[in-house]
Amino acid sequence: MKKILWCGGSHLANARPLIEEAHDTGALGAFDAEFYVTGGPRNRDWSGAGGRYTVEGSVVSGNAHEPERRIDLAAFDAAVFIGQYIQPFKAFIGDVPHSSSVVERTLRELPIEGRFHDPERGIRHRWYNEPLVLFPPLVSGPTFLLPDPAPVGKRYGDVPQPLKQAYHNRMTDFCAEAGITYVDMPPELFTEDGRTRRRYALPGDALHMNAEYWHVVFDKALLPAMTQIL
Amino acid sequence: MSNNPYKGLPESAFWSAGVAHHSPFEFEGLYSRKWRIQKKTQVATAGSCFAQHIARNLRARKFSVLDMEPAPPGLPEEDHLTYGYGTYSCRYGNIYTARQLLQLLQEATGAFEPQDIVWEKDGRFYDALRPAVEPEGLPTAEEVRAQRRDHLTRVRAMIEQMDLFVFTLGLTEAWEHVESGTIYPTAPGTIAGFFDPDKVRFKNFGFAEIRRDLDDFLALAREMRGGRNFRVLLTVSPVPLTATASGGHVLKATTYSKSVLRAVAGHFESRPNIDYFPSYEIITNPAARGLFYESNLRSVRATGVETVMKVFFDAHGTAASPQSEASTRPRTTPEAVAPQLDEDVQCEDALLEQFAR
Repeated sequence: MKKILWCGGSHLANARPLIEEAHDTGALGAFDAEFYVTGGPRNRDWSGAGGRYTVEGSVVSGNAHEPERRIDLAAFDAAVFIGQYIQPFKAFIGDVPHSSSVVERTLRELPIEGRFHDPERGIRHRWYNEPLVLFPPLVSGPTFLLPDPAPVGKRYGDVPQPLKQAYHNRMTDFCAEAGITYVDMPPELFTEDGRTRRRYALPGDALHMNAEYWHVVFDKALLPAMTQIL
Repeated sequence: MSNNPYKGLPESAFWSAGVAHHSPFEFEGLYSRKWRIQKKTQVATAGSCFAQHIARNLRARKFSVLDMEPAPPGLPEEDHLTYGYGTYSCRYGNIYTARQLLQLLQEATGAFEPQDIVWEKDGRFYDALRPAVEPEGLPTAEEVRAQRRDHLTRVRAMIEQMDLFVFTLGLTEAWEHVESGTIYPTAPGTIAGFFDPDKVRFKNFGFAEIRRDLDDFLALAREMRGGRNFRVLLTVSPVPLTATASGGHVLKATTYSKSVLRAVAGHFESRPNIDYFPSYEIITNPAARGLFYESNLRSVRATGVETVMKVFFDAHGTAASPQSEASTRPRTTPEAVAPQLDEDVQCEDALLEQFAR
C-alpha cells in the first residue's frame, strides 16, 4: 500500500484526528499514514544546539523527540509538513514598518540558517528546519508544506502587512527552490490584518487551531493540492 | 600667613594635585551628580558617536533606555548597529549639531520641512538626514519618505515619554542647504548624494547659535510634552574632527569646535534640570598623555570609555558593572574585545577620511 509521511509538531498533533479520518475513510484511503515529530520546542532546541539528522541512503536517523527512530523516506509516496515551526510573529514583533532592506536581511536565511531573538522570553534560537531541506529529495513523491497557522492575537495583527507578506514570499520562494509544494491557506480563515479568525482557535490558545480550522484547510487547500497523487 | 581665597580648598581645586600628580583613572570631585538617575527613569539618548557608549552602558546596567524603533527579532544581532538599531532611542543615527537636533523636532511637529532629504547613489536611495542607518539604501525614494514619516512618529513618542534626555554635543561644523537651512549630518557626496556648492554650503556654528538652538529645542520639547518639564544630561564628545572644511588646520578647528561646545554645555549647566557630565575632560585630560586614544589619536580606546563610565556610574550610585558594553556583546575571544570597541560605534564623519582621498 502507498504511504504518506506526516511531519510536524503541535499543529500536526492537532490535525492528526482529521488526518487519520482521511486515511481511514476519506480521500486518502488509498494511503497508509505514518507520523514523525520533526517540530516542537524540543527538536527546535536540539537542532539549534547543533543536533543534526544523519542519512544513510534514503534512511534518516531520529531526532530529539524520537532519537532511536529510523525512517526510510524512499518508502513514502508523499510527505506533508504541517507547519514550518517558525512563525512570523517570532521574526517581527510590534508595529514598526521596517524597511525593505532590513526585512530582506532579516529573512535572508529563513528557514534554514540565521538566528532570531525572542526578547520577551530572552531566548535566542536558530531558525533551523533541517527536514525541510533534507527530506524532499529522499521521498519517492512530492512534499507539501502547510504553513503554521497565523496567530489570533493583536500582537500579530499589529505586525505591518508588508512584513507578513515578505515572510510569506520568503517561504514560498524557499519551497520553490527546495521542490516543495507550498500550500496557500484559504483566505476565509483570516481577518483583514492577517490573523486567524478567533473562532478557529482552541479555547485560550492564540497559536493552535481547532478541528474546524483543519477541516477548512484540508478541504479547500491541502487535498486540492494533492490531486497529483490522489 | 595671610588668608586667601584658595586656602582650604580641596586638592581637586589645584592642577598639581588634581591633575598633574593624580591618576587619570581616578577622580575625586570632578563630577557631582545634580540628581540621581533611577533605574525606572525613562532615558532617551542622542548625539554624536561617543553618545553610543553612554546609551549602551546604561542599557548594560539595566537602566530604562527608551527604544522606540526596536530591531526585528529576526535581524541578526551583529547587524543591529549596522542598521542603526539600539544605538540611540530612535533610529536617527548620529546627531552631531544642536541645529540638527532642533530641526528633527521641528520636522516631527510640522514646524519645519527639510529639503532635499532623499539622496541617490547607484540607483539606491538614502535618507539624507540619517544616511548611515540604511547602508545599502532603499529601492525607492518613496520608501525613504515613508520610513522617515514613521521615524518621526517615533521621535514624537520618545519626546513625550522621556524623563531624561542624554545628549552628546559633537560638532560645530555642518553642511547646510542654502535655500531652506536644512542641516545634514554628512556632506552630500560622501555616503550618497551629490555635492552642489550652489545648493549646499559649509556652516560652522558659533556659541550664540548653538545656545539658541538648544534653548529652542528645550522649549519645543516641553511644548510637545504639554508643558511637562524633563531633565537633560549634556556631554561633549572627546572625539576630534576627522576633517575640517573650515579652511584651517584640523587641530585648530577641533579646538574651536570643542571649546564652543564645552562653553555651551557650561552655560546650560547652571539650570537645575540640566547636568553636565565631563566625559570630554576625562578623555582629554593631559595626565592621561593620550593613552585613552587609539593610535590614530582620535578613536577612544576601551580603557577610556571604561574610565568615563566608572566616574559616571560611581556618581549615580551604580557600581561599575561586570556587564560592561564590551562584555554584553558576543565575542569569540577575550582579546578581541578591546581593539574592536571603537569599531562598534557608527561615525559617519569617519567616512570623510575615505572620501577625501
